[in-house]
Amino acid sequence: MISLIRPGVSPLHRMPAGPKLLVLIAAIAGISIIGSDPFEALAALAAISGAYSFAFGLAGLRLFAQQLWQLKWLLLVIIIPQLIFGALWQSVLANVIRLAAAMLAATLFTFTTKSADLIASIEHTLGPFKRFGLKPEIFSLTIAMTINAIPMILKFSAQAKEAQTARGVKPRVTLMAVPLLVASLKYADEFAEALTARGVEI
Amino acid sequence: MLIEFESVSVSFDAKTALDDINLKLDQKRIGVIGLNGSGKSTFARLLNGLITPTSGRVSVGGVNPATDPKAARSQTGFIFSNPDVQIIMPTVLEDVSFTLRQSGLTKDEIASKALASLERFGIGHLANQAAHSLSSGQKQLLAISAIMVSEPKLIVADEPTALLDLANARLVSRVLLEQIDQQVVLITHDLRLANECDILLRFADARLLEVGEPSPVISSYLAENG
Repeated sequence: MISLIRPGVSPLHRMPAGPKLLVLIAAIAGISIIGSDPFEALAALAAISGAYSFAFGLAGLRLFAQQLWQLKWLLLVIIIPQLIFGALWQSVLANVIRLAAAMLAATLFTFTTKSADLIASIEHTLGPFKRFGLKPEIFSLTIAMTINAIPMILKFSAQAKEAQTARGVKPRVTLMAVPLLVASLKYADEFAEALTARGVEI
Repeated sequence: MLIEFESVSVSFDAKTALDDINLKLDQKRIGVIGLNGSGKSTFARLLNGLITPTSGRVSVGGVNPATDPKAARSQTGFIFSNPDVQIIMPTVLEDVSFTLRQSGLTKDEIASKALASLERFGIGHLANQAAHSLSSGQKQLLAISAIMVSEPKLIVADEPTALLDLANARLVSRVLLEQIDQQVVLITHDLRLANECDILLRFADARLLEVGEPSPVISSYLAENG
């Protein structure tokens, strides 16, 4: 799920990245302290859907539903072990809804925030720590690189799958691990060289 | 800008990547050809300090990339063959703007310069798109825009069309050979492209075998390897 800025003119779009990040952290903290009552978790999820609507109007609700649907497999992976280990269904349901609410809140943040603004904000916030030897640009670059690495890893994964299919092998996660690791390491190596060439000193 | 190599050798462990290179170049379009592993990419990386010589001295416009890599990189832009690895920021405009982040310009000035650079290379309409969603040719144009926005004096392109289809390869080649005013060092396997350079260097087995007009250099390359 690669979410990038979706243009808009809402107050959420106009809000500076730093304070918006603080609001996001506070919202996620609030969601995480909700107890095992599924109705409270549902209320939090409804509030997040309201925020989508606030940012994008009616289209925001559609976007919210799309993003929620994209989380289905992840949520399933989280639900099954909890049920296997005998957790109460109310508690499982609340946990899953809380997680979905938190992830959708984070996604909304990236939909309404330019990554350059986020990076500038992180560098600005961490600026005072430079005197203690901290390099804020490392944090900001890490975020940018993480966002960028996801489509690349997905691409490598698709290539590995295709290569296995082409050789008549049914694609298996165990068989994909090595080619995926090799491709990722090669990418990391070349990317580091490109960063250096563009004058990024870390 | 004068590029000088004085007795430059590069070794990695026991392997010699470049052996005793001596040359002076000031031509605008400098082509470099040779088989894989002949030393072309090592030569290119010496120009902006991505690799430092094991012995000898490199000078690019009076700057020694080994001792002053920061100055070398500010005057030399580098384009890699794989356009995917050159993308640093998530969106097209942000990626070009990234180059100017320490330029002292305001945010609006940076965005405006970045957009102008994208428009110059015909991809201004893609400014707000996710950089990884572009085609390979568009990504290579993005890499060129991101480098050109800082107005370097020298562009080093290491097989920039190697992973592109014919149409995109021609587009990127035209940009590098015709649209850019700066001095260009072009490492390529495309002999038609090499033939359009002002001077051609041919590497073989880590040595600089020939330097001269493109046609005779290409002829002897084909005679030996054709």
